[in-house]
Amino acid sequence: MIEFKNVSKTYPNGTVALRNINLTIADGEFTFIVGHSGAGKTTMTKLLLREECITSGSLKVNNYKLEKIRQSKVPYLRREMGVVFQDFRLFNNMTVYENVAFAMRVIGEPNRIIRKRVPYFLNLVNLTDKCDRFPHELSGGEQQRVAFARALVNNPKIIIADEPTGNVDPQMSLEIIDLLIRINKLDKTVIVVTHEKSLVDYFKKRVVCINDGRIVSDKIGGMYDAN
Amino acid sequence: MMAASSAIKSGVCTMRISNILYFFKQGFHGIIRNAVMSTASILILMSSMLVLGSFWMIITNINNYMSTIDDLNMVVLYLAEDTDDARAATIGDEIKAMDNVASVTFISKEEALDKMLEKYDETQRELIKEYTKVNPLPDSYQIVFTDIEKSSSLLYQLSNIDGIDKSVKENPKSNIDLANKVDNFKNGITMICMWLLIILLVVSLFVIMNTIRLTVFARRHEIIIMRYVGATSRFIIAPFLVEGIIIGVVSAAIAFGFQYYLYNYIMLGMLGNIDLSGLIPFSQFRDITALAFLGVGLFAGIIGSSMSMRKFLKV
Repeated sequence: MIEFKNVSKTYPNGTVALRNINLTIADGEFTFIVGHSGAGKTTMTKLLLREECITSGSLKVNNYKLEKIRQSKVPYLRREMGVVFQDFRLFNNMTVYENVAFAMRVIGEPNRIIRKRVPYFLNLVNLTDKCDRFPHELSGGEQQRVAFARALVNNPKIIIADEPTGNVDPQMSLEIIDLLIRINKLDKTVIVVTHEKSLVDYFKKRVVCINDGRIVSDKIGGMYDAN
Repeated sequence: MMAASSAIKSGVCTMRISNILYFFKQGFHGIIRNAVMSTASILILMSSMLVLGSFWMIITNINNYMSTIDDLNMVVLYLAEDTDDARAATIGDEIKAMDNVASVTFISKEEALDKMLEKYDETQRELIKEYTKVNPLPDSYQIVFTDIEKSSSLLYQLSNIDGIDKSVKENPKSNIDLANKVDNFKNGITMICMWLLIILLVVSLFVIMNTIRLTVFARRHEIIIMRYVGATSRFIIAPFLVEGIIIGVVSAAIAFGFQYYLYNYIMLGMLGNIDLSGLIPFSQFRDITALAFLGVGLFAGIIGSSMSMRKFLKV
């Protein structure tokens, strides 16, 4: 479960990115977080990953209270979440297989488990035949799927996708959201940060709209309405 | 699925053998992938060690050469002609009892003549013997002292002994002035060299650390991705440490090889016909050079990697 309570974030240069955010996302929920550029969506993701610290309020992710968490515990918090970034953030010097395996190695999984699970997830995202390729040898959509496989491989409870359709064509966008919905059905909490109105309107899930650092609407089965 | 969850829940990244092997593999891969930066690090580290090593060997040789001039710490005391054998023996005992005296050797007038004659060839010796029917040399004592600083007090004591030659009583034959100059020169050289060595060491470490810093900086994106997928600081830093260690060891090994060649061939070759009897053989430097190079290499590699990474681990 994710719980924002009166969360505000002001950057050192004085920019107020979030103002008094109150938001609860239950386990297994599928949520779109939408808003214009600079509305505060990315800051929310950064707070969840503890890339940034909250200025005031409290933020809870599963059992971690992020306003109190020690730096040494941050890696374990991040393992609770599988994150897919807009720019994929793959290791360019590792193959597709190694990229996915790396996420497992980080948490100390033995090789025999890695050898079983990585092919399973590469198959899930239809990349079995490209497991020996390097990221630069793949299309944008394929790189996106590698990022999904890496995000899923450790069986996290929460999947966060930051603008997952930003670098792919409309058909691929639909497929990606469809994949996320299938993941959600596996009892995973899915948060999709996007500004693509058509996609949000099409899937009719919970939509949290942010504008100028505030939540302006929060509707289940809602539409993109950031104004 | 269960295995992954349990590993996460435990909150502890177990250091498995597979992980250790992985760190070594990644360390080697890192060096190969970043061949240019790794080569630069190795070259700089190696050059620094070579300069340090050569400098140290030169200093040690200078010091060693200076210490061979220790026979300057010697005074020759001539006995008066009328001093009999009993008195001569007592004088010896008196000198031995004095402070700052390392050794006392009695040289009879016959021995002194023989020693003098050794310096001439056969014909000259015959001539000298012919014209000097009577040995003109006096008996003497050769006194070696330990501390040049206390030499004037010793000289004063010696000049007050009864039975020594009056003509040299006020100024016993000695190389004390020269010995003092040499000693001051040696101390000055040692001091300057020590400071130069320390400065060189600090500058070398600074250069080495900055080179490794550049290597790490070039891979900052890689480190940031590791943080996002939940890698602990230990997991991130380990392959870089392995890289640092490998770079340190390889640099030390190459530097040692070059040092051997430089000392044995180039230095000896350059010196050519100069008397090399005072030169310390490389075998005497071997063990300490190997250990020092390894130590400097490991220190620079490990400290350089870990210090350079600190900034990127805060993401």
